[in-house]
Amino acid sequence: MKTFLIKKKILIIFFVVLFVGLVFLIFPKFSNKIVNFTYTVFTPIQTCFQKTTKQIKTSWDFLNQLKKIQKDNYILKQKIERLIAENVRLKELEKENQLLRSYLDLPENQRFPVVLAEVVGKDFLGTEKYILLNKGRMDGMKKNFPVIVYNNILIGKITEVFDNFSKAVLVSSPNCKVPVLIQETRTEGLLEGKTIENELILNLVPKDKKIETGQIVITSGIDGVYPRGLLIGEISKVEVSEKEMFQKIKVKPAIEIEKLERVLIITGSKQENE
Amino acid sequence: MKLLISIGFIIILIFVQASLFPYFQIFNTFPNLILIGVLIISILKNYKKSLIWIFLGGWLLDIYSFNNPLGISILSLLCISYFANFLTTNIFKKFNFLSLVLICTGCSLFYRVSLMLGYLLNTGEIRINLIQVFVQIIYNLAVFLPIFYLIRSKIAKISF
Repeated sequence: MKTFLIKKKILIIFFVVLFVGLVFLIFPKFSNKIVNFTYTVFTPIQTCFQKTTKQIKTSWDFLNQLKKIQKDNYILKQKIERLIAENVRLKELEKENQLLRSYLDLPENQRFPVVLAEVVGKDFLGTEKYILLNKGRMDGMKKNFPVIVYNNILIGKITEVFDNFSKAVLVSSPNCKVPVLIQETRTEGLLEGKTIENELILNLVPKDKKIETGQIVITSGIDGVYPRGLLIGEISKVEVSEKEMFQKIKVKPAIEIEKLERVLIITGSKQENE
Repeated sequence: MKLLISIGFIIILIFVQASLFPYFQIFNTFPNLILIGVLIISILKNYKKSLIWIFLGGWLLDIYSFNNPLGISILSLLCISYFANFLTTNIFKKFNFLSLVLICTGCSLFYRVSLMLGYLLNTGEIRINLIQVFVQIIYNLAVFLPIFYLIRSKIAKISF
């Protein structure tokens, strides 16, 4: 018997793995508990590794790009001056808007409730674009909650919820499709990510619509998952082909999505029943 | 004790892969150190010695990867380990450059195909990106070959 077990060791292991895999497939709740436990054990280690490597990378980049940083600094200072001026103008417009709303008896714009979460993990194989967040079912997280940064830049949505953690797919992933509109022209389209590039693709925009680079893309909110008006990025390339019905539009994300440390989860939108 | 050292080493390696390698990614891919570790042990020792790598490494790869059914990496690494060991003991008697390239390429390809099947099982969709597969194979080879020669020449006698 013992000799048989030793001889057939690999076959036994194969069937054990197969059996465990089947158990996980049939009883997803059981596997969720184990996955949540593994995340709880390994997340501090991963966070420690990520912080260390990020610090090394930042120091290295700083030394390497001193000249570029100087140039960027000059450009950013100019940009800040422009934005301050624009901010003053927008504040005036906001006051005017509030006044007009009160005259017309319109309700105030609702801000969505958000929960702060930390990015504690990323895809180990690098082939998919998702992040692991340290907020889960216990914190009231549900599937399809939108994930944002700086209060209005969309970066993805929650796809899987565990007790203390949740997985969020990024807008740059082909698994994430977002109904959007171009702010200037109010043209609607469907935004998709790409597997390789970090640029996003804006689909279903008819050829007769005049789209230009630099125009801003925001969520349209028609799917009920993402609130209307969340910033996604700006149009970086427009191609119109005679043969195709729709324009080929590339969108550059507003921030470097893959390098985030903290995000906000909007907890007040519609979600799928789990 | 050896087992504990192996476990610690695997954990360090997998988190290095997850936190350091994304800075060196090409076409959103980077080398898979667990796969490379399993291959090296299977070639230099035997598949039984790589079981802890297969179980712990495969488990963590599946849990921290998107849309992979749990267990797919363990099964795939188990097949890879057996296959690599079989090839080195029965077909390629000497570790020449070509045989190593063939083994690493075949195993990397097998792993990607099994992940693709796992994705299909989980989502019902087939997604193939040939550029990504090609880049991953080259990247794995570029890391596997120097590590393999280094271990074989300097510390081949260290038991994993």
